[in-house]
Amino acid sequence: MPFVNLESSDGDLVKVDVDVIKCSVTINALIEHLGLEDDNEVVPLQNVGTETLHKVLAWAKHHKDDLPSVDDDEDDPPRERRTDITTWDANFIKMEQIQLFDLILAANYLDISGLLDLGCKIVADMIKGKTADEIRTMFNIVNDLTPQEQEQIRKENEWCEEK
Amino acid sequence: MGELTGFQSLPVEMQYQIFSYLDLPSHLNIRKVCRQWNQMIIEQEKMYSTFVIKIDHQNGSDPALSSLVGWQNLRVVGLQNKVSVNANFIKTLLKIETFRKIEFKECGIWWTYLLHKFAGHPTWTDLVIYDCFAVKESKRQCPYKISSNSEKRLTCRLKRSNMNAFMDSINYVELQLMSLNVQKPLNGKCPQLNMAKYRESLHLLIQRCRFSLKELNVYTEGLQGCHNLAEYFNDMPLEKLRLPVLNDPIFATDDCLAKKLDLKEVILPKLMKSNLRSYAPFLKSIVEKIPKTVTVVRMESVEYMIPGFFEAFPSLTKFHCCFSLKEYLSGDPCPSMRSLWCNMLDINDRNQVKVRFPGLTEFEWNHRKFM
Repeated sequence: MPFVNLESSDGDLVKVDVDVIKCSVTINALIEHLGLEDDNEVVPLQNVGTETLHKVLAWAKHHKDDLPSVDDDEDDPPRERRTDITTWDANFIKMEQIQLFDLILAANYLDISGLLDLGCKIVADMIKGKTADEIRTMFNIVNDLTPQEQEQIRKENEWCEEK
Repeated sequence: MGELTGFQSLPVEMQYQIFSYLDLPSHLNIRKVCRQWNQMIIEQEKMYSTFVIKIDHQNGSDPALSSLVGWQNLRVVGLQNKVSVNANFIKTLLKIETFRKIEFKECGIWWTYLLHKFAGHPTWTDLVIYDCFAVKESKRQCPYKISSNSEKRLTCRLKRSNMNAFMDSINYVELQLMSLNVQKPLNGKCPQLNMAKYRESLHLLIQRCRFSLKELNVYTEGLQGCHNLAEYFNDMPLEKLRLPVLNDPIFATDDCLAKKLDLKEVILPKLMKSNLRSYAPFLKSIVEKIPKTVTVVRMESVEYMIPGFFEAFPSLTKFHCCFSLKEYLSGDPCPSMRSLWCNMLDINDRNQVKVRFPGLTEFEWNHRKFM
């Protein structure tokens, strides 16, 4: 079974089964274009830390036998995308916020759509049902809206606010 | 402020992706978080919602279009037939390069002009026109050409009374469309309909763009003669097809359907005035002709299904039907199936559904989602 060596941004080498990491479009393309046949070849990943890399690989290993996802209808509006998350994924994704964002960034960099979707869904779930204040606290965001802007948003939202 | 961390460290595309999983109340709510989020939600609306412009006939003034920059979908209602009234509006509209899908209700005499502009427009990918008048075009402006690699889609719903004029216009239009949806002409109110002319026009339209058509959806049930389209099938690189009518002997006997090996999606219509006895044999013979490599089948009929259907289509990933699947839940598992939609299913059948379709990730019945 062919292997590839991935080097994290912390400088650690991780030997990975090519079959496991095939979900990453980025690494797949690298392997194809560079023809990494030598087992000692190293792929440096400047944007992925060791801890995150191990997380990514754990996810990839669990999902390595998944069938390729079905193309969604072009007509389906993006808001109606399904939001199901398997139990395994739900347990896997339980982590600190900072790790979660690192994982999403890594999934984006490595172009692993399944993992990126999962991460984004989880963040969306964190936002759902919270007040603006709670969201600001959660993500450490400063409210830079002027009172006028806030008033305008309130007016524009009025039609659907609960009385 | 120092380096951004957490949510704000994510690239904007990913922030958009996260927001796209939220529903409307959440969208409205998170506008209040900060200026950037507010701006993003407004931008997102422009991408996924349709802006509707109603042109005011009384005042005759053109609506302000400058505020629409950034929107992708537009519906225009009330275009007038006088060239002098809406000319500026159309000119301005053509200059805005963010729109992708444009719908014109009451398109009037503008339709051939719009079709011409649509053909060469850098951003428009979808043109939907309803109730269009057509006028005889001067040869100076022709031929219009829509190139086959431009991925443009045209949907038209033609007013019966205007078919004669339409016929004249289409003569000058060179169409190479990827996708064509033909709706039924409007019912009633048009006693002067020349049915023969309508048929002729429809056939001409399809004949004209047959070499580029990857998608053809025809809704002409009950209109005699409109469905005999099989003769053009051999030329079409079809990937998606809604059969014009189910009990057309051509589809059941000829091999035109079986030869469409690129076909990915098939929609089977209801039989007109259907009864089970006549429906079943037609359905059976047509299903036999459908290439077994299709991945999506939608059935609009309500009554009947072919025994062994799921076994016959091993590549099926999506199946929609309007009848109860209860009787078809026993049988070998169909691991390829990802998405199932049906109504009339007992809640007790859910476990059986899972056994039969173990790979299901999307399951909806009676408009309720499961999984």
